[in-house]
Amino acid sequence: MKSLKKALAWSETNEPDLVLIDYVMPDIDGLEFIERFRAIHKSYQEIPVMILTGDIDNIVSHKGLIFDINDFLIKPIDEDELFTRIKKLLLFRECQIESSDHMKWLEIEIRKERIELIQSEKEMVLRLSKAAEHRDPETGQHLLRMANYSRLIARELGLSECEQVLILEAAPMHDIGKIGTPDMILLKPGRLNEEEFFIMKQHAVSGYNILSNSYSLLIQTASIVALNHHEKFDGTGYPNALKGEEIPFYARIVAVADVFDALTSERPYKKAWSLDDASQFLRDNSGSHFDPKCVEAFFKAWDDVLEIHALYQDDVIVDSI
Amino acid sequence: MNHRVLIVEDNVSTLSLFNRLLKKAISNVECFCFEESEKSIGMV
Repeated sequence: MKSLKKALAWSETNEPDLVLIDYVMPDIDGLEFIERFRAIHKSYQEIPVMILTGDIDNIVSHKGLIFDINDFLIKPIDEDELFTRIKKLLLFRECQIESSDHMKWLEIEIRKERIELIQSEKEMVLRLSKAAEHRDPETGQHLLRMANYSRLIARELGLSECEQVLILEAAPMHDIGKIGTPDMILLKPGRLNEEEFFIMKQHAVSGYNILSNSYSLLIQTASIVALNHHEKFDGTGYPNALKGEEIPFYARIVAVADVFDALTSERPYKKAWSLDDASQFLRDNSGSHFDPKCVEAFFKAWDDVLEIHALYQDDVIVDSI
Repeated sequence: MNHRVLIVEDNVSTLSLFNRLLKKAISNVECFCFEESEKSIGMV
């Protein structure tokens, strides 16, 4: 038993390429040894094992299958047969190692490609948002603030870290459809008349058309937000007059963040509202314009809202989300 | 490629046979032998 323990202890720090073991030994048999050996590390489950026995009866075969024995050799041992089998098992081990190394290399390459792809996607989103920004009196800081407010709401609603990042990155594209809105309407300093407002409302559908049918989850999410961020909880919004939970969840979140920031920002046609007044507007319209859960979540994160409001001021240039 | 072969055998003559065969037939092989009897030949 002492030597078997020594063999197992040695195996804990040394990974062999092949194990040759006798089935019949004092105290524990070869299969029990292999069971303990396989349990040392996950990678040990693949190391070839050949068991030597003078009696390959059904029980040994059955147990051997359970413990994943690669080969049996019957005593008395034929030297040529032993040599051939050992060569075969070591070649098998070489192939295993090469295959494992190749898999690791492939994993690293795929990870690199994925990082590049994600970066390209983020860059495209930023450039698209900037393109819309050039045609819109709203500033880039507005996009940063409302995106970060959206993330805070998502966080308070218990969404996962991945979902929070998704909404953070998708939210800035909510008004991408304004690219197609005529300047005379988009930049008009006064109130829009009925016809102008009808045209202005098209930006939700235009944004959806620009972003929809993407393979990217981020762009898909952005398309849903673009289409639905002007829907109202009581069904009086546009473009589809969706009501309550018919409105996609992310769009309900973005609606709160977007309106709060629009109210507290100065625009060519209006002065910035105070934080108190804008907060009161959200409370007054909770359940009619906004999802009450999203409004409640927004105020739960109020200290962080104030930090974001102070960090992304309109006269401070911050170029990333 | 170097190979490490772990041999667990309580029969000294079989152990010697494995050791001899492996070293003779396969290049770059390291054998680590453990046996059960008092007549341990230890690591090779």
